Amino acid sequence: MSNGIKELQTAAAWQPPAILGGYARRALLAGGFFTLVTLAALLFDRHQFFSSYLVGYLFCLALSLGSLAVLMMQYLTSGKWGLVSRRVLEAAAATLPLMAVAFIPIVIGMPTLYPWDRAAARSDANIMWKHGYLNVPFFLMRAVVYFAIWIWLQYRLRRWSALLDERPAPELEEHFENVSGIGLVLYVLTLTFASIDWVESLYPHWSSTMFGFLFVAGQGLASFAFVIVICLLLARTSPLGRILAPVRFHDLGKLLLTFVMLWAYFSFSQLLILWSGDLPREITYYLARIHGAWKAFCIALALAQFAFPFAMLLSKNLKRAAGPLAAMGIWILVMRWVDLYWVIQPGFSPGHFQFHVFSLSVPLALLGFWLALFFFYLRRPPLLPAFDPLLAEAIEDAEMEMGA
Amino acid sequence: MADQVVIPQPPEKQPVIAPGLTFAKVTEQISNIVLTRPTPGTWFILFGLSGFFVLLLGVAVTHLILRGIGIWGVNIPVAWGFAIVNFVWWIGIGHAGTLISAILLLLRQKWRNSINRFAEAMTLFAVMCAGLFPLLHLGRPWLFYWLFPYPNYMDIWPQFRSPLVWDVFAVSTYFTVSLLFWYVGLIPDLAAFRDRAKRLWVRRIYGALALGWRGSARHWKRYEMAYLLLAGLATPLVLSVHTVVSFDFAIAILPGWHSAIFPPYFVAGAIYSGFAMVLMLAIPLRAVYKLHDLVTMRHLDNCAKLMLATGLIVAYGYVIEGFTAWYSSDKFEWYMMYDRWFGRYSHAFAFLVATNILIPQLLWSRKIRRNVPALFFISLSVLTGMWLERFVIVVQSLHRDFLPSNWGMYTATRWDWAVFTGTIGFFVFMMLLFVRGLPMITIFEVRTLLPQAKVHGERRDVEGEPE
Repeated sequence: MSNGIKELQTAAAWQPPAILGGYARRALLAGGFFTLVTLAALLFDRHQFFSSYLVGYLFCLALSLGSLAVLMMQYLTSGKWGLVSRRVLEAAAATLPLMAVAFIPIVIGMPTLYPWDRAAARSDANIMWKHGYLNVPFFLMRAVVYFAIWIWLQYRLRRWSALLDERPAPELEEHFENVSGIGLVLYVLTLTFASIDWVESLYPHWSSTMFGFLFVAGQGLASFAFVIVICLLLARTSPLGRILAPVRFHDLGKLLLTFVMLWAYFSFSQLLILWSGDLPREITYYLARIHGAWKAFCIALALAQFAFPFAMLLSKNLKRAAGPLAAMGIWILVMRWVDLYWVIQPGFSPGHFQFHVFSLSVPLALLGFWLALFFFYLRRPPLLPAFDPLLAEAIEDAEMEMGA
Repeated sequence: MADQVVIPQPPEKQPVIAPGLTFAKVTEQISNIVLTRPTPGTWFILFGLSGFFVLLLGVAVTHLILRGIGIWGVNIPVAWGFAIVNFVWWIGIGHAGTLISAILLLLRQKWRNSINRFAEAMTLFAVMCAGLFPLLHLGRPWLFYWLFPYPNYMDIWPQFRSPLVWDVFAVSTYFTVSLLFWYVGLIPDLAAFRDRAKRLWVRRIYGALALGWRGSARHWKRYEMAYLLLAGLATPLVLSVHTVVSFDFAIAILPGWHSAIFPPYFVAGAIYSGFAMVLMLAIPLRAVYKLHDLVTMRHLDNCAKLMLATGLIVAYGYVIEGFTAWYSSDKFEWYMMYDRWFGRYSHAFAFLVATNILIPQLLWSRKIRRNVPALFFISLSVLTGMWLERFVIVVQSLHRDFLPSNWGMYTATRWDWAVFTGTIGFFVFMMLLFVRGLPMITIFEVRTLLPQAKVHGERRDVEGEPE
């Protein structure tokens, strides 16, 4: 056994398969196609472009930033699931600098998106009360700070992690823990205020203390679902096929289930508390989202983002079977889009349901480019840090389950 | 079993229990505390001291039942005084016990095995203390059964939409499941005591409690399954009980109570104070009974880390509540927060921030986490801080509500203090009885931690899989 592990402790043993390049090209093509669709539609009508862009942007950001958070989480808990998915998480987090660039259209669309950035807001006493926080320069400054923190964190962690391709680096363990510990605190704080800035302030009269946590849970959920789908792709080919044992999918499935429950717990708590309070300044948020066609979204979220995945993921067999688990992952990713759409869109078409070609084409274009970028990063480093101390155990587990 | 040899390694790297133990030694070390070793002098001193407070509790409760809750400081507007503060504080403390015994079992965190037994006992006694307060606060505690939905000739049902009724169900379920879980966990160890006890009457008592346990393979198989199922049952309770407690406040529309973040923030606070209590119990127990081999620095370090993490969630709650009170532009919300920071109870808030948020940040330092006295004092600080947090939430929010003509102050009376200190005495008293009469560490689970217990080629992750 020790002989076998020696052989695997080289960066060469974990070179990414060529097929990833194919995925990147296909994603790029899809992104290009939906960009053309969007451009064509823009000729006729610009309405809803920015709100759709915001939905798509936040969806992709959840994949990048959620992966950064999960990356830090696995350094703190040091599970073997974290070892096998680490490079996937790193590649997703590596897209953050370009996500900062992709934020520019939102800045351009600010007057369209945010009521507090319009002339009418000047005569609104409630909005003027928070003018010290909700004003363009401070909004932009905060965005710069958030991105600076996120980009620095992913850069730091990826640089150290790359060293593990070359040699054992026990001295790094403490660094990983320190940066991840402080990083997670920073992540939760910055994401909370980012969610207030970018989403909650779409309805400047409304506020909820739970809003930040809902985004934290949503990003965790999206990120685990995404990692499971990518791990399925990688498990089918060499080199990760020999280490992605059912037990690792089981671990990831349990974490996915945890986040399904966490999201439901936060959402239900907010709903119950605001509903029972029934205060005009709070309940309006839900009133705009439970009538007409939005009602279907409400029910769909409760059933399809909680009840169904919850019931399915309780099964041990499902969690251990990569295919069905990845199908559940895709299902949850779709529901993440539905959730964001339900949170953001009703603010722009109060009282009635609205669906535009942009609602699909813009997020899909963004997702296409994002995936292309992700596969580009995933292709570069070896798919496992060869000198991670947990590697031997992970391989042993896999050999025990799947035969040597 | 002399002083532990200092191993020059960080606690994360150290084994969960000290090397060199054998199966027999573990059983001996734990059971001798109860069966053969003379009771330490410290035990008698503490027993006398806590016994005094139990008597005080008896006096205070008797006086309360005779005279009514007018002897407490509660009145309008602050109708929920110490009674509710103490209720929430005690029930929160219980949560760490359930987390350690149920959630950490499902997560296969083996280090829990040395501390789960006394943490579960802590849960039970804390819930007993907690349950006392709402009952006494009813005013006519002998009519407590009106809280339950039972068919009666008055045709009166409880108000099911009231979180106070949810509390009745949440707390009684919590107590029942905790008791069952604790007792089921005790059975194999009670049988070990039965087999080792010298005197006949002692053997009879443990024998009756052990329910005929013989330790056959079939017993073990069914036992493990039952224990796992109970852990599954207990797991949601860690979240649900304090969530319901938070609804007691958040369902109302009072500024300072009505906040969507309350459920997770209360749960985190509960676990936070619970781990502080676990450390405050583990540190003296380990010193008095020389349990350094079994309750190692690993345990203390892990508890400290969990405390730090949950404490940060609590701090997040304060930050986001403060920010949202301003951001909501609701004048009542903002006034409440302003009053919390600068009003008549601001000293309580300042002390709360110091003890609950600032001092525990020391736990970031690895050096502090390895310093046992420092851990003890930080835990004390957290327990004080969490009590103050509930005091601020209950009293400060109530004393300035929507109508200025309705404003008033709250001062606890000596009877408030007597009941509160009385329950602390009762808690310590019960813990002392527990360590004197029952195995405070799970013998059979600790034995599974020994290297001898590892079967060669054991499938570490695949086997013993929950769910």
